[in-house]
Amino acid sequence: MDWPSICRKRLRAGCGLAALLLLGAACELPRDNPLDPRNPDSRRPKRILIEAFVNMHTGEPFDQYAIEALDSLESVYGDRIAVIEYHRNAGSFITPLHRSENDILYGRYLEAAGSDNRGVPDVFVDGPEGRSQGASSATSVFIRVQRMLLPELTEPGLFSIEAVLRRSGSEIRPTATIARLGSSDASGIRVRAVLLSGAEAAPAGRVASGFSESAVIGTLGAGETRTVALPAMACDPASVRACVILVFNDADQRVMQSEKFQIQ
Amino acid sequence: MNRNKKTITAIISAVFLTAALSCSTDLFNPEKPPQITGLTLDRYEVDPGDTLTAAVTVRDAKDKTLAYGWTATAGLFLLPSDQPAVRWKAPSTGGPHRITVTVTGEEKSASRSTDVTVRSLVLPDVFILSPQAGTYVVQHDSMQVRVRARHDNGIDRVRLFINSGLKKTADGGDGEIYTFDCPVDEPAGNASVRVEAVARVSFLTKSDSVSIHIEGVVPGKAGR
Repeated sequence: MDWPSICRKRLRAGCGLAALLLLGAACELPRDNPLDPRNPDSRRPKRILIEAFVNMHTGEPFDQYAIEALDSLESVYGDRIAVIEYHRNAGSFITPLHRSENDILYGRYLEAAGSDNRGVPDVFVDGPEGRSQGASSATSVFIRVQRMLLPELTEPGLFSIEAVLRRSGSEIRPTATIARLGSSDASGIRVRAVLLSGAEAAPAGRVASGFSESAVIGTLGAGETRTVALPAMACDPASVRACVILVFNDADQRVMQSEKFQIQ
Repeated sequence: MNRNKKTITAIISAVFLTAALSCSTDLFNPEKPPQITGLTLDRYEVDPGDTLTAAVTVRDAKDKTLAYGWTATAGLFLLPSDQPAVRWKAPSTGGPHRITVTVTGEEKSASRSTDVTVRSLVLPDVFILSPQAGTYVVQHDSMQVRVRARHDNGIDRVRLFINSGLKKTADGGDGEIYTFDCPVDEPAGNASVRVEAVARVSFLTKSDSVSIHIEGVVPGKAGR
């Protein structure tokens, strides 16, 4: 084949490609991708947040039962759940993993749940509404949490969370991109981040060790996407394992979506 | 002659006066209803199917013609049942019943009633509505126990036990639902919730129980 014919062939191919691109630009692409926020039927699997308020220094086995149950739930449900352990002082039982933010969050949850019955272990599924306090065995905690978990797992996830975690020394600064999926708007929305670390007393790497102030998103229209830079969180680089970012309703503290991002 | 006229006039006047007085008695002294002075039973508590005697007393009954009618909310009267004293056969089911007598004179009547209890020999009906078997209850929290208890003679009392310890007692009332709020202070693990209903009159007793799980908690206020 001589050079001119090769050139003609390439020119024809180029013209065809250009025509195809022009055609594609002229026609509206069908938005049938369930992950596309602009698709009114878009949705993602909901990742359920399980938050456990515990104290491993009470001398009672109840919190150990709860931790064992959470281990089992993680092994059964894998990426469909994100587990956070908030260690807190309970009465005269002090834990070195206690953080004041844990108690603030616990108080907020109890207020939203309309309860004054404080005590550990206390496990919440997607916020204050799904509560399972106490333990008589690992099995009992597993059963009770699973009862709350199963209906949530069938719910469509109407938010997507993407995040970029910028690490600088002993600080992590997350930037979260939140998209509202489906066909309805959402209002009163906030987003916050929690750093998870490993500890000798809690080797699973689920201990809350850093918190960001929650950021207001407010109203997010159907198909709308918002990017929020969350405040930097101090961390121990040696023990930090992951960051959970969660979208919640400011009025009732209900968690609407969560994602867990591993930190290398 | 005049003397005869006067005599005749006096006789006629006397006849008219007598007639007038007789009419005024009917007008101003109408018949009074019979005055019942007592209605008694020889027993006020009987077993189903038992027979008792009911008797009514009426003031000046001998001087009048009276009719006696007996009715009851259940059971039946043995013949003759139109006497001042009758025999009443209790129904086969227990419960409170009322016996009424109506005494009728020439025109007017009066009634009186009295209550009789038929002892039910059936055990009370008791059922724990909540918690259901297998419920998880949080230690140191408050647990609500709802119970339905009934008996033909009414409920004397309902008692709530957790494991073997008496937690609360409620006196019997008009309703069938009893609600207990009690703190859960038992150790963590399986526990039994038992409710005992005691019937009035016969004091027959029946229980219902469910097994629950008490979830252990270490209490502690936030921030402490």
